[in-house]
Amino acid sequence: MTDRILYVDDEDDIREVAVMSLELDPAFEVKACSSGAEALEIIRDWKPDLILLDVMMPGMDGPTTFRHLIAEHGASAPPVLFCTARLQASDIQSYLALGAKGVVSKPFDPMTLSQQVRSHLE
Amino acid sequence: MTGWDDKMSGLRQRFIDRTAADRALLGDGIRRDRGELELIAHRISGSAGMFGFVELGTAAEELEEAIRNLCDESTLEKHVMRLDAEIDRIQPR
Repeated sequence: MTDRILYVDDEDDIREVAVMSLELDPAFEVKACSSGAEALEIIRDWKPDLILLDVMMPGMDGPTTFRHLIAEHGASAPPVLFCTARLQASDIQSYLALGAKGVVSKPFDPMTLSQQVRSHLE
Repeated sequence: MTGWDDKMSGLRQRFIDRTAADRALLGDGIRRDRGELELIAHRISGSAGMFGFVELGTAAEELEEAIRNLCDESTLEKHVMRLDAEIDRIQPR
């Protein structure tokens, strides 16, 4: 069985490494895009099983994208992991309070990102 | 993993080249524009560790944090100089 993962980040370097890292799991089908608006568009046609969403992006940031996602899809919205460089306990709590499934710290380890994501799908 | 390693190596080199361009901006006196400085620091802090440049990532993160905490000019200068030195360390000789 394949799990669809959508990775959203405006930084090319991080996005490309993330896609390579996620594809280390042969059961992941991965798509990536560089903005929240693009992500909302993709999700209308290609429903992911999980979204990795960067917090700090120009234009629509991660939390705003998340709110649009919930407004549009309600309870059927895919689970979201926020990706952020600044991780303090209070940050994690605020993202979980928003409704995120979890938080991934950046920079991530390219060799273990797919395992980290997998653990949120089980 | 050869294909993976080759691709990572290419991305790592691109990161080094981009960071060299960022360093030129630091030297152009952009340090007066805290918004631009924060963007540069944010980009580096989120990526450097993935390519094994841990010290560079830490220097960028500390600069980003100092800007967010509205640090004074001498503190800012100290963090910019440290970031500049760490960028210099990863450039090929």
